[in-house]
Amino acid sequence: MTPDLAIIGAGPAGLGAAIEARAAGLSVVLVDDQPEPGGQIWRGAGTVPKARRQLMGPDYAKGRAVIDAFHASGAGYLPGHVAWNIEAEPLAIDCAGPGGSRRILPRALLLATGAVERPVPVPGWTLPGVQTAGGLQILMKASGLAAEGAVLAGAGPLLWLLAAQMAAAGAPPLAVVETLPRGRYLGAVRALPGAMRAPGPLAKGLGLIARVLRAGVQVHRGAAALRIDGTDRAEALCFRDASGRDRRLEAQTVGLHMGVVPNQQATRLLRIGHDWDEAQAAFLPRRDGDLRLAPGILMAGDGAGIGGADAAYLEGRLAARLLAGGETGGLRRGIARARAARPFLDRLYHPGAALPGDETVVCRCENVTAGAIRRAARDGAIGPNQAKFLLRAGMGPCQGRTCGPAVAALVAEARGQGMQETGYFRIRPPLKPLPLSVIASAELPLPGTQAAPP
Amino acid sequence: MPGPTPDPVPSAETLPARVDTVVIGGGIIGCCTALELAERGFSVLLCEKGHIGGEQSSRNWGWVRLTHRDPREMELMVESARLWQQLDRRVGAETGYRRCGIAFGFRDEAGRADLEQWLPSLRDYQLPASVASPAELADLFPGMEGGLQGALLNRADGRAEPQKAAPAVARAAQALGATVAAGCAVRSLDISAGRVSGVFTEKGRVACDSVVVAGGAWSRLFLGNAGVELPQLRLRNTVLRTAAVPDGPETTIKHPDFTARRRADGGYTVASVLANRFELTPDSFRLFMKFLPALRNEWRTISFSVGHGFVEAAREPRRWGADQVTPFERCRVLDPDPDRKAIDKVYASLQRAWPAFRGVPVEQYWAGMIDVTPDAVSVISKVEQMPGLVIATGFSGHGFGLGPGAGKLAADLASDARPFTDPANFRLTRFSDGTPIRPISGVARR
Ligand SMILES: Cc1cc2nc3c(=O)[nH]c(=O)nc-3n(C[C@H](O)[C@H](O)[C@H](O)COP(=O)(O)OP(=O)(O)OC[C@H]3O[C@@H](n4cnc5c(N)ncnc54)[C@H](O)[C@@H]3O)c2cc1C
Repeated sequence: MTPDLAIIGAGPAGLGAAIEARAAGLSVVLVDDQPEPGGQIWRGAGTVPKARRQLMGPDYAKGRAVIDAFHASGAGYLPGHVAWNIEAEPLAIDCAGPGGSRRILPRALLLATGAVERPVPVPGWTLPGVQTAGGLQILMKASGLAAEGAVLAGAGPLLWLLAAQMAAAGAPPLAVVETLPRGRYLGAVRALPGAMRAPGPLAKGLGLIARVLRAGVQVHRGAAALRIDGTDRAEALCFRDASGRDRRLEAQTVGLHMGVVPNQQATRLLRIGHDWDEAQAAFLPRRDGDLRLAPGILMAGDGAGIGGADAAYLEGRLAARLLAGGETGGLRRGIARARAARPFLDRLYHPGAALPGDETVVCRCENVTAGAIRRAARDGAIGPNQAKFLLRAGMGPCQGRTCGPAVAALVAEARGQGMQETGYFRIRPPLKPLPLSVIASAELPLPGTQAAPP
Repeated sequence: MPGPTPDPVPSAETLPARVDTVVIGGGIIGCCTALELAERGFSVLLCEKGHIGGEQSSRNWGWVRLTHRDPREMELMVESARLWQQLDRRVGAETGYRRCGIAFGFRDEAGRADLEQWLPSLRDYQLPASVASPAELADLFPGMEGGLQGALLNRADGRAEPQKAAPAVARAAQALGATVAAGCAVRSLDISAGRVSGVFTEKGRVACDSVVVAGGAWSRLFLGNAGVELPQLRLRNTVLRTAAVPDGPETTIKHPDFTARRRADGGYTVASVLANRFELTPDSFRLFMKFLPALRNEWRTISFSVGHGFVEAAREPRRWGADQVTPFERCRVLDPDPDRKAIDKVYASLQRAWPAFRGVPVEQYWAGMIDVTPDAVSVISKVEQMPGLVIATGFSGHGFGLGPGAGKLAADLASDARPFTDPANFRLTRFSDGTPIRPISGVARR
């Protein structure tokens, strides 16, 4: 395939870019590993029954219109295709789908690979019944299932959104346990004036919290020392409450959430430089003012820094506009407005510096504990790659997508160094596990098979 | 007598060694398929043995109608009409599409009843169809006599310019990187490990993952050589175009004796199903049983003849190798002789009914070969026994209007995308799996 523009990721940014690029007459192919367009936030929004769409709230319903516009745009679409290899010079993408692997040689590439949930390694987080909040939300969107009597714990806007959606679906959670340290709300107030330039998101957030409280959900604020108890599966969430008392909430289902961070797999694979951003507590890929990561490669949406769905959609459109040529001032102003509340939210929901205790498993694929990583770091592993080499942390099926940020933070802590010098896993193809048959029948010899550098 | 000249399309000198998809046939169907694929980022080679739009796609009446559609085709046509509306903007050129409406006139109660049965299905799709009174007809067609009692009028029906549409679509595909090779017949498919791996053209082999056969009246012959049986016959229809008619009607008229459609140049394309002629060939006998229901349906309007075409067709080879000159190269543009007698009669009755046309000279006569399937519904289908092969052909006299939607569906099939409409109605196997073959709208009943 030889499109003008290849896009990876069918969330708001990718869809916005595809619609805009087609309107400008570019040929477009969009690759996405899900069966339907929408990404995480609009998952299933194009196909779920109307009733469920309404339960999920107005932001979700908005996705329907964008998905329809995408389908009508005439863009090529490869759903169920994993982009498992990306090369910069010349630009090439290998993606594997039901029919085998296919090579795309685009003139330009847009990464719209979005965010992933920050790992929440607390004791017991690997027990059956413990999920991420995002995972619980996927269940609701995809199959209309809301777990009864769940406990949601952690911090971030998604926690409240999910609680409100579960309440609307008639299965409100038993409790929301927020782990923000006391005083965080006050600290965030300094960023409030900026956020008030576009108060929409804040009003929405307050509305959600009010709805959760009205639904009779217990709310615990200032919780610490989360732990999930259970032998074969989750039985209870335990924590220390704001007054220092130990609490225990019986629950079969626990949803954990500590915010989202850019999904770095693609940008790391392309060897794009990343900078540690303390405000978002995440690595962000280096991008210029025109969304460019490298010649011919652009990034839009949360993958380049968390900005939310509205900003992502507009950034996708901006990326297409930049490629096709045309006026960009209006879109840039729209993006600035959509991101106005970000500094406030980043401050409020900053994950803080607390890291898991030694016993806690961090890499769940390979069952590696925080203690093992600390020991490896003290024994000379100067970065996550050495820890991976020594312990296999990050070598399992998720290829470090889940544990990467936590492994890096543990190494940094144990060595008393900054995140920037600690760095991140070196990502190599395939980005996701592939059946051997796909590799065997791939159009070109398997790239990335050179020996790993020390 | 050559047909009307389609707009020119630049042709590539050299062929790519490999593409994602090869489209065979530069008619409206092949061009729309190529554009869809190019927009979706696939590399495409469009091969046309003659010139783009040289056969049916430039010779047709130029009707883009929703009325008189087989229900199996309705969804495809509704999407096509939507795509026609955006086509000029999409291809950056003028295709002449207008929602001018078509009035299907009737002279008696039987005619009324026959036409009224189409109303419910049109209303199902919220189409603005109604029965127009003689007074309304007088408004639409001032001065027309001809004894009409009324007409089924659908204002969503339209027209486009056949000499412009396929070329404009081909050029737009080219602008998106598709290679258009005119004067380049595809001789045969290259099959390896049971699936399509390329094509042999008269200019050499091109590797590909999929092939779309959109060869119009040639598809049966091409597929037969590959061992794929497609029941398809040719029906000749003759057309004339007039000089400009000052203040002529905007709306297209179908009168039982004639039809007239306004052209962009101010003249009219005049035709009638009465000028249909079925030329008997050896295939007519091979396929006789398959086409019997269709023939029964329409035989009042079709005349049969055995001309020199019979001998020619009998001599035509049906199998050949990749290194042999094929019938596609020997006949670059299928240009049947117009049936002057029949079409002159049609024009005479038009002039009798309508003073505005009296004294308007005929500028050109031509004929075209309509490719017909046993149920008069197209084949837009994968071929089970041959992965990578897609057929988009057999449009049975109404493929011009269906072009954009059919191209979209063919592109869906060729790229393994989820088809936008259920392709089951268009599957090839319906002719061989015992499905009763029911022609509903037919070829000639529009
Ligand atoms: C007189 C007449 C009036 C009609 N009126 C209408 C109408 O009003 N409305 C309507 O909707 N439809 C109408 N039709 C039908 C319509 O024109 C056709 O259904 C439509 O054009 C079919 O398009 P196509 O691309 O399948 O075929 P074509 O336009 O016939 O194109 C097929 C092309 O394939 C090429 N080809 C074949 N084999 C090979 C090969 N091996 N290698 C390379 N190239 C090859 C041929 O040269 C040809 O150019 C009419 C048809 C005729 C003849």
